[in-house]
Amino acid sequence: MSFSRLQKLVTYLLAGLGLVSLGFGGEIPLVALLGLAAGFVASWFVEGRLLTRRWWGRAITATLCVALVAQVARGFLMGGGWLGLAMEFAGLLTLSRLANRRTAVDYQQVAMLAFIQMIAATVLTTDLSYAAVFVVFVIATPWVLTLAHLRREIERNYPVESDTDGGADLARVLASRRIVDVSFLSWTALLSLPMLAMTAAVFVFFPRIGLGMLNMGGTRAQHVSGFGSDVELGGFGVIRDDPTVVVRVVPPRELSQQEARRVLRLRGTAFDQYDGTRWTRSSSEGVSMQPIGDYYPLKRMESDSDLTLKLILDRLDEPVLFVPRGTVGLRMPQRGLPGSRRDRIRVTRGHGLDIRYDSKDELGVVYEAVVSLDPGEGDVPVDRELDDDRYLALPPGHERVLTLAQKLTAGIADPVEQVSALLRHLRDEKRYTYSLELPDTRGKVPLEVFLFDARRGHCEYFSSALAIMLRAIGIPSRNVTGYAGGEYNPYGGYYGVRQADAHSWVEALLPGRGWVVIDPTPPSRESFQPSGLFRNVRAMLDAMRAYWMTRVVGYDLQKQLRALRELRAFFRELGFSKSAPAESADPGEQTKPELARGPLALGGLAVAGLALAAFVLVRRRGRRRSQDELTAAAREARRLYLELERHLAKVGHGRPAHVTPEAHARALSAAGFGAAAEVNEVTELYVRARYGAAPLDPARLTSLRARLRALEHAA
Amino acid sequence: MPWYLPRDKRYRRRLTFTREGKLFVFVTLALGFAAVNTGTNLMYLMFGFMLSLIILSGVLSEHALRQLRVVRRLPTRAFAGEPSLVEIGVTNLKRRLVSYSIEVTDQALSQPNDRRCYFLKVAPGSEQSTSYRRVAARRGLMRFGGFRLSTRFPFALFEKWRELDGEGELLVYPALLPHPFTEGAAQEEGDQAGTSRGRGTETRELRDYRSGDEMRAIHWRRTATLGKPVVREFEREAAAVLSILLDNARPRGATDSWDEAFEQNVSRAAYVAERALSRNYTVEICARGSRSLLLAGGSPPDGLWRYLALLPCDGEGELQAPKRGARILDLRSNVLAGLASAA
Repeated sequence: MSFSRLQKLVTYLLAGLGLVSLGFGGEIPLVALLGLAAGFVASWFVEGRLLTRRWWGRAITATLCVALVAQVARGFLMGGGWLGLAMEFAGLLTLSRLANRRTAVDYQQVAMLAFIQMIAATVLTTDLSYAAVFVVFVIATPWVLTLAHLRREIERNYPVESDTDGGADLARVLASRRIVDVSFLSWTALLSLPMLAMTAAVFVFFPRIGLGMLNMGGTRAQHVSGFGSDVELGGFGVIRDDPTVVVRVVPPRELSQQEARRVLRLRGTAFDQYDGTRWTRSSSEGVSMQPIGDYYPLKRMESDSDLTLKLILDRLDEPVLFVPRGTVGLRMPQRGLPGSRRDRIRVTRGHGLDIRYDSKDELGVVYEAVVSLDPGEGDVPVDRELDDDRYLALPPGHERVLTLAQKLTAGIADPVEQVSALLRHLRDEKRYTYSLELPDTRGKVPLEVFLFDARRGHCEYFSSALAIMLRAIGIPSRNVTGYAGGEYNPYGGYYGVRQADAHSWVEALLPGRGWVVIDPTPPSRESFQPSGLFRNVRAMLDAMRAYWMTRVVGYDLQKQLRALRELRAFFRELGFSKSAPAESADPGEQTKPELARGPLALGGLAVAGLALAAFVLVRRRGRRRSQDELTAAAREARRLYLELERHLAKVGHGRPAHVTPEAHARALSAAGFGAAAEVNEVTELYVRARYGAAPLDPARLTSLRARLRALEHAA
Repeated sequence: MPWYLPRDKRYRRRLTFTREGKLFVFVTLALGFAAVNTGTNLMYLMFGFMLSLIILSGVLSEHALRQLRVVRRLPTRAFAGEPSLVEIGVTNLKRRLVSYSIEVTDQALSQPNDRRCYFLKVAPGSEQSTSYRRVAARRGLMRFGGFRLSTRFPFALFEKWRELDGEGELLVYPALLPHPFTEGAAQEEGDQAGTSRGRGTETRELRDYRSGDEMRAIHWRRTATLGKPVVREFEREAAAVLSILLDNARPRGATDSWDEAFEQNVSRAAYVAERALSRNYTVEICARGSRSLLLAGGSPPDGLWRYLALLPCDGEGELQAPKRGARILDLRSNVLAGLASAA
């Protein structure tokens, strides 16, 4: 491939990456993105003479000016959105350079813009897609920068028109296929490996002492519904086909099916008021929880029999902390400096065990839930001051529902039996079916439509119906939203809880039990279940995403300190010091059986030493071989010629460095040098033996040597 | 220099940032500041990447400059005020790595060092050469101090350079300034054949071969006719001798105009010498305290030009007497005196 074509290709690759990174964060509307993509493709075909036309360059500059004015005007008219407008303009700048790529400077500007766009994207996204773009960017950047540099030098050093000597002109050099080839691309691509290693080193070891003065925090949160202050009936349960993982539950060991079913019910928000179409929370204010260390007790302190689950929560637009069933407390590791109040994530507890977090950054959160596997601790604790009659309030116009509830529980005194009776009614598959196809409830009471007419609906209808019927018979109840279920990801070793696992159920306050979890929804047959290769790929991608979010995006001072402690422990063991045991990397971590790192390190050092010795040996052998490549005759001839040179230097006719032996001999002959005959003979012999591999006549060699000595004596 | 460095590495490297490099470093530092400030991890990633680009740039430029041999090939003749081609050859002694974008500055002492040769690609184990035009302002020895080897490879963030030994000398002959009456004089005063034997070109007589005679002197046709070796004897060619007199004693209080006139006379002498030699004059140049070689007609004029190139303008002593019977071109007193016969 010619130099110019290759340069165009890799520059477009880099520019494309820059434009893709502009799309992160959703600041640029889709229409504008499509326009930029179209311009990007169109600019590829701008070639040849058009690029050299002066009017073309002027037209592009004028277009840019108009676009700038238009963007400013749009900003004022729309009253904001400057970030998106600026990014659109950055995209236009890239297109303008691509469509007017005449000189090396234009290519350099494209690279510079791509850098700026990639930097801008760091505050717009935390998604795994940035990692993919970043890796390709690392590979492509050396190509682009190197080729831009070479082109600039070519433009500086080669004439535009061919000179009279027929020397290479600019166009010929740029069309050459010999300047850069596959090996050039290969070794520049290989450079990405040390660059990634260096990047990783800087990333890991550069101190994370964020001052937080300019935190832009433009990361877009994942949209979820059902965890805010209200939820429309029918607005939550229709996301059964969204496979996006929102929570990852990392168990300390493999869970049994029963354990998994129990702990993978993640409670989010509880609603206490129902107006007939919408559930709301009467009080959305929470009180700040006081931790004991980093532990936030919900029921009690943790015990050895408890199961600790790590939850990796993506950043959602509602900062809810999801709590597995049976959770007795939460542990929230801090991000910043130990003891720093500024970096502490604040945890609040609202009415109805609504637990939320408040952090300075816009990242997701990683926390631990201490879960009791004791069936008796599966219920939700009662907030004595907060739980009151509001859980018995009934919406107006639901008389048919009340009548039905009373009818179903007639003659039953035990609240547990009453609950069972209502559950039996709703779970009767001959009577009600689970469906995502919602009935038309316009102008009607939705629950009545569900219970008496349509007799189908999704989890929200079932849970709302049960909650209202429970209230109708005097049992306090509330509607709870959260996630139920999850799929084990073998690549990441966690349960991925998807948006599609969003669920709604009921909590009833039963005497002597507290808030009991009741799920009236029959099993779904319509849930989204991908399979085969797609499922595996999705699981793998999600594992990568989890790794990215926790190890890269979520890398903080605590993790950095832990890494440094591990490194210190490793080096301490390199010194074979047994007096000081290696410090545990994580204070909360159980002590692991000590690995025999000393011998390992010794072995590593030995291997490194051997590799170094082998390298030195190979290098020396290579050098020696190059010396050995001279034949014995050539060595003799060289020795003789050096003798001659010494003599010539002594008599003031030394050979200048820039003159070849033959030329020097000719010059001496022409100047009438006395020993020209000897010089000629020795030079001829030397050149023939050294470069022509001609054999050496020993008699002649001896004779010449004698003549040289005679000359020496004479001098 | 540290002993543990390879010999090639012991040369001192220096670097200066380019405009793009300064901008890049500034953006990198700004990004680092922003990363520390905001704690945004992806900024740390970009910051690390940009730092690695700077480090890698240093390593690659080092490799580009390593194990290169530079040679200078000077022209056989160079005249003051005239451009002459100096060839620069760069050999890449590395086994595998290509050296891209190498610039060699040939450093002439007390001359402007703007003569640069650019080598886009020097493949491993091969030599690339290019030449540049250098104009020597004045006659005399032009000394070359060495080479400055530089590169902005790979990313043009900075220019790294090192100096290589490569001293050399170029003898710059005086400019050739045409003399107005040389042509006519040379035609009139052509060769004069003498009557004695010598190493001329005209055959004087044939005689029998004697031991020690040169083989090229054998007259093969006559030898074949007579059946014994016969050799030719030549007439000695007695060419006219031209002595050019130059006064190279700079008077006290002489101004620049004297120097200028003297240089012009040297240039005229160089021109006349060349023309006279080409017309078979035997030529010599006489100055104060020294005289040139006596060059036979038809010889290359380099011997006389070399003499003129190195002739100082502060000669002492008496002006050397011209050869007896020689024609004289008197350039003393900075006046073209014309031709006269020496007594």
